[in-house]
Amino acid sequence: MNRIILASIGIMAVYFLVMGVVFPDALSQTEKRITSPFFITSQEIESISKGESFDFIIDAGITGSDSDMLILIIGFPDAKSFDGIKIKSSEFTQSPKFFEIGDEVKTYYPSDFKIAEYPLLHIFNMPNLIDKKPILQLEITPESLGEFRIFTKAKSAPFTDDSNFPKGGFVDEDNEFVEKKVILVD
Amino acid sequence: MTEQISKTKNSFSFWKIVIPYIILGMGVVLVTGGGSWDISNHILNKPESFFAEPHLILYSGVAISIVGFGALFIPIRNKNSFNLKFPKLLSGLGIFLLVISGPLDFWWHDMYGLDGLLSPIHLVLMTGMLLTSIASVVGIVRIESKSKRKIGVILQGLIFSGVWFSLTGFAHSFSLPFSKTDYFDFNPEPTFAAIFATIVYPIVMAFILITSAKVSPGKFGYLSTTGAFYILIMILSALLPNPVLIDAVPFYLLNLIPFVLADVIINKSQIKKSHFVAGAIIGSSFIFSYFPLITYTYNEVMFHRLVWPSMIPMIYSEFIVVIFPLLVACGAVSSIIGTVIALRASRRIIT
Repeated sequence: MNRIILASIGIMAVYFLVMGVVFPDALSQTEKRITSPFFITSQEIESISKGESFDFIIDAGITGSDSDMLILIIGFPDAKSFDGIKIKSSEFTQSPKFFEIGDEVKTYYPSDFKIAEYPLLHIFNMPNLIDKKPILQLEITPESLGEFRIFTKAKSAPFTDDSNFPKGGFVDEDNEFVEKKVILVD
Repeated sequence: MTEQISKTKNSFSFWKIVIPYIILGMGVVLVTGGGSWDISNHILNKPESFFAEPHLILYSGVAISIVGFGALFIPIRNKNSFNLKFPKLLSGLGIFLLVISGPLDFWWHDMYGLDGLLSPIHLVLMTGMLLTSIASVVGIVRIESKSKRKIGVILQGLIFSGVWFSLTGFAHSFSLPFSKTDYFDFNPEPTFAAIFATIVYPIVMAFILITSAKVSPGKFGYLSTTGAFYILIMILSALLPNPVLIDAVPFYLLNLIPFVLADVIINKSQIKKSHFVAGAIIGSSFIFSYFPLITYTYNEVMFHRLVWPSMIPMIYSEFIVVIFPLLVACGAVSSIIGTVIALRASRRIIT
């Protein structure tokens, strides 16, 4: 057999060994990113008069390592629409998504879709590096009297058991923990 | 002395005629390279803007191609003897599609928001890229063959890589799950996508590389250089933008091995059916050459996991050890089609 062909067979055998066995083995050593989100919410006042506005501020971040995504999911069960809810300032890089009642909403983890029962705001950073602590400031003007509730939760990716925040408290319709804040409108 | 003057004049005339086709092809290389970088940015979910770096490279590529197309019409003595009517027509159609795809894409974004990889407008853009790059290759090869001169291994390799990326754009569109948007779901069915990728990627590779060798018969280096440019552009546009893939670069460089071997077999071995042997070597390496994007295709059919950018190494490593022997064999077989097309196409290009 031609010497070049023989040499080619040998070289290709080594190539396949390296690319099919050594390369995947080296890739499998890549450290898996385990990230955990967190946030702190703050609001200036506990109650307001009808027609007045208040600021709702969320300081978010992650622990562990750089994350492929940090998402804040903010629900407004006592609002009928986003008419009285505005983003005053945001350090999140992706465009926010506003889901009105009846819209199809991505649930992220597990990856599925659901129908929004109340207005939901999704706001993201993709990726979110470990030292990035984005702040979101909302200006809210409740439309009706009584309690105005705000449900906030955060997720980070890749998803693990540690990728949801908060870890306890009130449970929403997705059977996930949310931080519940209430303001009284009188 | 007279012979010397005649040679210099011929050389000057050769470059004057061939340079517009080189510019045309280099524009497409920028368009496809920018497009590949843009896909990476979408994978990394980087915020999209009209003036993002990949977009600027893409627009400048279109502008350069338009300049090249305009230069095709500069009157030069003896130009008509090169049989360039077909590449000129093809480039006209290609440039037309490239130019109209801009406003059409803007309209599509306005109507339907963000678009996926496969959309009618992107198909128009990709067709424009493909026709323009083929026109560039046909023009250059015909001028070279009539004038018995070459533009050189570097320029030819670069221009051929433009055709390669243009064809790859089509193959990606029908095999990657990047085409689901709020309005349309153009994602390919996972099993179809995996079979399509397994057959079409080796065909594309064998077709481009065997053609690049066949239009420069007996000259070592043309095939390898085309392969080297593909690897370079992939490293710059698909590996380096994703921090978790930087460690994969040294391994990815090893993909040059099958290309150099194929080049040696075609130009040095003097065996029968050398193009088919070379094609099989090239095609059998497709699963490694199309890393990292191919991870998404096979993940859909094997694991159906959500592939975050940081998880590409892990998911690729999980499936590759299981299926690579099968894919190597499939790639080698599929490459026969690419080689047959390459041998026929190169004959048509030269005549």
